[in-house]
Amino acid sequence: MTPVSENDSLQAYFDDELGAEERAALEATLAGDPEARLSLEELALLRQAIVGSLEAEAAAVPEARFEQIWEQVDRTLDRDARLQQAAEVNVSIWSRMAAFFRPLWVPTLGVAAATAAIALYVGGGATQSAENTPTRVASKDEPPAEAAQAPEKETAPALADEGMIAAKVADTQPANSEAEIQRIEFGGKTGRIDRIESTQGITTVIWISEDDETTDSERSL
Amino acid sequence: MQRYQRKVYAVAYGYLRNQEDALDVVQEAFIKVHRYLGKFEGNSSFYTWLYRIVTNLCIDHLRKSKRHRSLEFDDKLRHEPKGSETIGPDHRPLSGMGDPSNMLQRREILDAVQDGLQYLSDKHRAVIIMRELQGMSYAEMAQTMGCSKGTIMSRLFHARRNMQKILTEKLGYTPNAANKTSADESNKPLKTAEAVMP
Repeated sequence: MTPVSENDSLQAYFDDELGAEERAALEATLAGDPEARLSLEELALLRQAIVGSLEAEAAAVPEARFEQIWEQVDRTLDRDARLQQAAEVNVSIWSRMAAFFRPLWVPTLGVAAATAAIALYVGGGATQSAENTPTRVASKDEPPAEAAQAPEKETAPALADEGMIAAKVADTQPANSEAEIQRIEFGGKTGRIDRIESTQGITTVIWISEDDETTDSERSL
Repeated sequence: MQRYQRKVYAVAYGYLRNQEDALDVVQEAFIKVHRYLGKFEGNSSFYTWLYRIVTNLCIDHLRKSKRHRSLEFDDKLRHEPKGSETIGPDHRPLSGMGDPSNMLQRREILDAVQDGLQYLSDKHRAVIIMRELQGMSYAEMAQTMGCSKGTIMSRLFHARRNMQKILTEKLGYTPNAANKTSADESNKPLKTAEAVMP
């Protein structure tokens, strides 16, 4: 066997890079190959000499030289820490402002929420009233007979009740007008459109059913 | 961490062959360790991780210094030992030095090894340090050096062979009769030293 070559497995065996089978096969041949065993021994000695030589070189460095290194390492790490702290301080200006105002957030948000609720209540009340009126007119709970007898009587007072609110929005809303479409079919029933009202973006169609069970109805669009 | 300082220095000195450069790398390595200790995943031992940092710093250092010197990080010997063309691949300079346990007490052997490492190319020295001192596997060496395992095996073979040749010359070892016979046989296909150079 050639002692060590680039292509054979002796070097890989020495470096513990062979699989179990290859290793076993090579060990079987080593028993009868003194030349290969000598090469392995030389490789081991070479390793020992290299490691020993470098460790001796390291042992010759004075301890004081390493102490200088550690001092420099400490200085560098301290500087890192200071730079890190400085960076955090710059960032924390806004954080501190936020922390300063944080106790005021809850009451401020509470006041804002209350104000918004009041505004919605006042503004929404008109809408709710406007919507309620035709609904109440169109209520199916009412006896059909009564509704059939006096549909217009029901709507008139209801609209009259909303007179003040209607007057408030009249400046910004289109005026009520006669319907151009005369008939309507809705919910399986047909009827005659009496009038169309428009209040705060909601158009209400008031119509009078002409089916057997006559009743008033409406649909907000 | 101080207990690692001399081992780390030995590795760095093995790569760089200069005391101050090696100490600079040691310092830089420990700074990096402190900075990135939180990122150490624990997949490998701390020692392996530390060695990897040192190895990368040394390779970076060699590449940077390559720009400032005429020597290159290549596979050629920096100097061809005198008479190397006649030295066969089967020389065993250390086997003839007597008791291995006393070998490391002999200054001339340690100096010869240092000279041998000095003569090697950067890449040959790197594979020697990675394998012999750091105990890295072929796969780890290939990954670190960015080449194949086959290339690592080839470099390692030639690096060891070159070291053996240089030690033979430095130590003035003459093979004994038994070795000489096999050495003569092994010399036949290797007419020149270049034949074993990659």
